Amino acid sequence: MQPKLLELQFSQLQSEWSKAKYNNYSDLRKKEYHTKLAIIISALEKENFQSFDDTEITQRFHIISFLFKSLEFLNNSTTSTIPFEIVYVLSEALKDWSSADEYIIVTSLINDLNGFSFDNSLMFNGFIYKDIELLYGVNFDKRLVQINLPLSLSRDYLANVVLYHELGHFIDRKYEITRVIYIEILDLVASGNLKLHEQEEIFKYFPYLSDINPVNWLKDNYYPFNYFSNHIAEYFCDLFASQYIKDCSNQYLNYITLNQKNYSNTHPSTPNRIDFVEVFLKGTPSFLINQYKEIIFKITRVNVERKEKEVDSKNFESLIPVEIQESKELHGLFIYGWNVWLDDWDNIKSQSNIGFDLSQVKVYEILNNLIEKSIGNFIVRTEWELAKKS
Amino acid sequence: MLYSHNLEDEKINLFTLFLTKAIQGEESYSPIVNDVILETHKYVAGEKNLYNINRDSMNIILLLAGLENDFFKNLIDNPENYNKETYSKVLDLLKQTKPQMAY
Amino acid sequence: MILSKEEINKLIADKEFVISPLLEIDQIGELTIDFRLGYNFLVTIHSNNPFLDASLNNDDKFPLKSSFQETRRLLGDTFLLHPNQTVLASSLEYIKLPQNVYAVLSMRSSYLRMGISLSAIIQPGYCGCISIELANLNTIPINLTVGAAIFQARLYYTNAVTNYFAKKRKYICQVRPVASNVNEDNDLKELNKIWESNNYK
Repeated sequence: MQPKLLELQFSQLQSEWSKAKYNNYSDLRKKEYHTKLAIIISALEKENFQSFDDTEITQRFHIISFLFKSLEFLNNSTTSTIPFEIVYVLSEALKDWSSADEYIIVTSLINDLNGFSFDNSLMFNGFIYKDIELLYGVNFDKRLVQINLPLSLSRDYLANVVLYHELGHFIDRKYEITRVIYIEILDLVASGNLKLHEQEEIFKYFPYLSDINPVNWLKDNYYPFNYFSNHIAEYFCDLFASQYIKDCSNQYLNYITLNQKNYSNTHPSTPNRIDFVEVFLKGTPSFLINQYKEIIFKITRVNVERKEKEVDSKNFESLIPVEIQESKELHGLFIYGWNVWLDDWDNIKSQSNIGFDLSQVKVYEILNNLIEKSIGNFIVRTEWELAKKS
Repeated sequence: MLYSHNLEDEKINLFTLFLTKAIQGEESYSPIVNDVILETHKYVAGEKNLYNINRDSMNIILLLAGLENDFFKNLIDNPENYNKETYSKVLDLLKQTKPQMAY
Repeated sequence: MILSKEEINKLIADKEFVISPLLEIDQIGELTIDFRLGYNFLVTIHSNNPFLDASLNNDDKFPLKSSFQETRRLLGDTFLLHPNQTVLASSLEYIKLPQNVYAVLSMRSSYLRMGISLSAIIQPGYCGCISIELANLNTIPINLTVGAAIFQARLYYTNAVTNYFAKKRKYICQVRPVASNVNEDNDLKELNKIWESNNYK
């Protein structure tokens, strides 16, 4: 890359930084992160790109890209409409798998109805952090991760169950779970040592493995986004999510995929995905799910099991929030919300003596409001109790 | 779209860059590349496995192990013995990778 | 008749009156309940609308909702209320009143003295966070703390038990302040028809 192009990239960053320089954050950790960006940018301003060789130019290119991404994440976090309730619940789930101290979670509300995702760009490349430390003496002890959700659905807690699936992708990338499952399953299939029912189960969820040619090709051509890798990851994420929200994401899956009967390059068929989760939830003996569980445990030391506590309540039908007692019930709240949505809404009418017909949009508002308030109340009480103790 | 950014490409690019720096004599980069080379050695020697190799550099480790297993197997278990020759060899291996392997 | 502390506590214990979260039992005083400032706000913004339109005579050219913008804070954060500014906020607490009890709201004296005004009545059977319109009558901004007990309610019995949901309600289970839905008032529809006939439309 020519130095002039690097100068172009840096000018773009400086322009963005001139607007972001005086950002205000209520979160001290974001302030500290921002200060570190300032130190690096200030150091870059003193450098003469024209004097750099190719290696040094490439280094700066990656570092400036890192700074851009960091700014993008931090800028999104200064908006005043953060859906902190959903962030809190996902953070609680994340704690089961990872130390929460490593991350600063930010959110971005985007104009894409299907735009649920975790942006991991700054999470899993340790090299860039090491390079920054070597060049500028700046150490980032926390990394930014961004949760993307659709602006129009930011208060839709029934839809936001999808984010548990997305959290699964985050955990997958952190521990490279798909990569290991990929190798292990192909080795099992190629070994010829599988019992008939084990083989049939694998071929059911991965139909193309019944032909040895794809098996051999897949062994030699690992790629993070080949169809087999994608499918393994999707099954993992569905399994991951179901630990917290049972089959709620299956409900939403049916809605967004219209029960897609064939697999695509990116996703298994919807019936297979639903079946995979149901087998897990029912505890039906399954060779493949056991493989997943064993591999996940060996890597993460965390068991794949139900991690939610169901909420035994009729509060929503009585138009009041649920009093959540422990964090596991936060996940159970979504299951309760979905059960009420799928149930007969006359229960709400009769329980609350409502004298007029409840439209679906009214029930939708009521449920989302009450889920939000239930989570918000738990957060407030927890923070209040902690403050009183300290 | 004009270009699609891939995290794994970036990791390999940076690792290649660090190797170059180490070869050029910048010793501060040696520990970073030594860690990956040592981890690859331990993997091919059977001291580590898919479940406990470093997750961040896992794909690079598996890539290198697949390229020249014997070289990494025969490496000494002490990174202090790794030198410019070692780094140059690893760099050459990476340069030979097929485009789709450099994911 | 105003409810006493004992009566309020009994209603809470019998689950006839819901108040959640009740962070401190001391919020229930001898004759009043203190309520805290919630973390959701609606502020008026300068949009393309020349005024807040509380009529139907303009063919919905100036929708009310576009004159308001949502903003959120965390517990313990502050919110600055500017002179002459009116902001829609809500209580931290979610309530459900019994069908024979109504509430009269007012600012707590500490905040009244700073120049913030509030006056409202909540109907029997209401459920949701309490929406409040905070107006700064002072000449200087006031920095409020989210979660602070800033207003209070006196509870009174009605003569008869009513059903809040006997007729269709615009606001059910609101947990954030909501911009006025005045345009859904049936009266405005009738008045609009009169206006149209007077203006030969």
